[in-house]
Amino acid sequence: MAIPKQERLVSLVMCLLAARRYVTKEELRQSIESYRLCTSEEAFDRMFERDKDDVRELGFIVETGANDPLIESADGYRIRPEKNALPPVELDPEEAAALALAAGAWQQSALAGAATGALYKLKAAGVEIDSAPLTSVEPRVTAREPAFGPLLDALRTRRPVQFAYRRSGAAEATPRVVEPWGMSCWRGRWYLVGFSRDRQEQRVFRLDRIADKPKPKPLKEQFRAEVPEKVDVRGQVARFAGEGGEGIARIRVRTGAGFPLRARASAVVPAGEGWDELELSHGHGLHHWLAEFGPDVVVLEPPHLRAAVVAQLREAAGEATGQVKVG
Amino acid sequence: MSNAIDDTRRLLSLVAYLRERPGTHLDDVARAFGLPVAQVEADLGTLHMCGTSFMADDLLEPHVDFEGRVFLDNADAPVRPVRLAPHEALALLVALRALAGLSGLRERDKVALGRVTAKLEDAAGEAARAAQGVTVEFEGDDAAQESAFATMDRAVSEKRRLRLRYYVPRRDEITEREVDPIRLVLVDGHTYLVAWCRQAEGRRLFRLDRVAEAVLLDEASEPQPIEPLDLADGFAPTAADGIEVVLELGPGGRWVTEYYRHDKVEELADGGLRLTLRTPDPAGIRRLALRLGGHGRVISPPELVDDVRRTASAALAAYADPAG
Repeated sequence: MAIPKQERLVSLVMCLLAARRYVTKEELRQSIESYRLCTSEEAFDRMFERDKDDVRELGFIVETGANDPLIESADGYRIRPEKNALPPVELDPEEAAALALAAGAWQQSALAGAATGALYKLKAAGVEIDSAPLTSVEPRVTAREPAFGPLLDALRTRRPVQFAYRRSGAAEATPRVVEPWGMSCWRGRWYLVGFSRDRQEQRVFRLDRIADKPKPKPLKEQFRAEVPEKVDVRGQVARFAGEGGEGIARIRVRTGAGFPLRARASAVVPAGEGWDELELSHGHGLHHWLAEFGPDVVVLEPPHLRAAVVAQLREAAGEATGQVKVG
Repeated sequence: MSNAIDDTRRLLSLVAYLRERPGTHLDDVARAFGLPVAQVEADLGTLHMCGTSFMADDLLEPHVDFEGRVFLDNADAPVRPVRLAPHEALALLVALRALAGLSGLRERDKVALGRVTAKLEDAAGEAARAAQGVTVEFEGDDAAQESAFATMDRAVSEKRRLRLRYYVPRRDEITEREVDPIRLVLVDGHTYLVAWCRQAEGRRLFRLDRVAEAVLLDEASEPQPIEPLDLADGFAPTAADGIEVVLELGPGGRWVTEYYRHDKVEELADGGLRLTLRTPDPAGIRRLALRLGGHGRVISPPELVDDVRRTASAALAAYADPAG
């Protein structure tokens, strides 16, 4: 039976931590049983390369070098204990509860392991973290988009990424090269903000419209555009999603109908004969939502919104001429 | 994310913990890490096979004495609690900052969040930088519903029944019901009350921005014991029964596939889609058709096709009359 990978990784870390000098790859092959059992040099190389990445993901700084300064090749590895230790952390019970809540938010997401792992490290240092709840609220971050992990890596290492992106309303995905500046989860969706090399400007991308696994550009390739001092990811995303008022709309809503419209209205006044008049701030796309309420909503102002709803309803009524888009 | 990595994090943390605290009782180790005792025992078994080399002299020797105290012999490698990795720091810091932004939070909790964020930033050092470009906002449309949030928060912590006036979008109607609250969950940009609905006699989710009114009752809540919800996919709708509906969508209506669970989707020549789904709720599809306008239409069943047309025509009548 194959030796479980975690045994190999724990042993590799212990070996590199215990070493007072660089340990060569060949020495590692002799010390770690899984490596010794590799049937070929290639198999060992592949396994070792992956393990090094994993050990770095665990948070270790793996240094490379040679013990003899006269030797050019840096075929040795070590982990210096003093450079890899967690600084002392002391938390009171409230702070610990807040931390537990924060870590719990990532449950069942791509960062679940990282969040739990961080808590283990703190617990190993003696920080007491129990699960006494801070509030009765359980926040959950979902990050189910496959692009999430690769983009997070690209963002951290500041590397341009390439991916296939399907614009809203487009059938086919097209290749993009983006210099990632920030990521934001808003209303349950993840967005990437960055410099689009194709468009030569700042753009917002929805992660669930990325059609493949984003690939980082080679390490030596730098950002070409200057990263702004402060990237307003949240504001960018909100504008992208059609938030932000373009103006005030006046509409009539039948009494008792349209609760969500009322909840958002800045003013609600009875207009008689079973109707109320509402004022709403509107961004782009409001006409779609208003049409949904059918005969229970009538747009009064502005005229372009009124016209947009009428056009929308004509299409739905089958009265539209000329620009039928489907069928 | 590989499981072996998660296991390695836990194993190394156990080694670091036990090196500092030899003789800690097995139960206390399990409690400190929030793990079942059996898991700690299994991990000690794994650590038997780990060491600076596979030579017997170099392997760890974990053992539990007859009083249940845990010792880790031969742990000469200087395994100490490890600095946070960038992803680890990011996960905690991003979530802490998002929590601090919750509108209904008590002041005391906000302050605690601020303190722990600062401490963690210090401890993470360089690794904290990764978190700078990433933000999460738990609340969305419902951030303004502070009073309803506070009432529901209180109902959960005081275990009291609630009377809700609750909006049902597919009927565009407010319904009244009494519910026994279980907990509040923030997911996918909304706050949900998970509660036992006494009218429906089942667990229901109530979205905060659809709560027209929440009244705290004096009765104690008695939620039925039920399985915890699996939130792995957020609150994605489950496959529905009901009538089969076929929609044709133009390119501008392709988003529908991202929001409606469907049985079948076919590409059309013009960049559009033909979507087949089942729904117990044709009125909801009528609303969708009105929202789509020229970007999509119902193909079948014929009654629903007529229904959409009739509703749209009725709505247009108001615009034909200059009085509005």
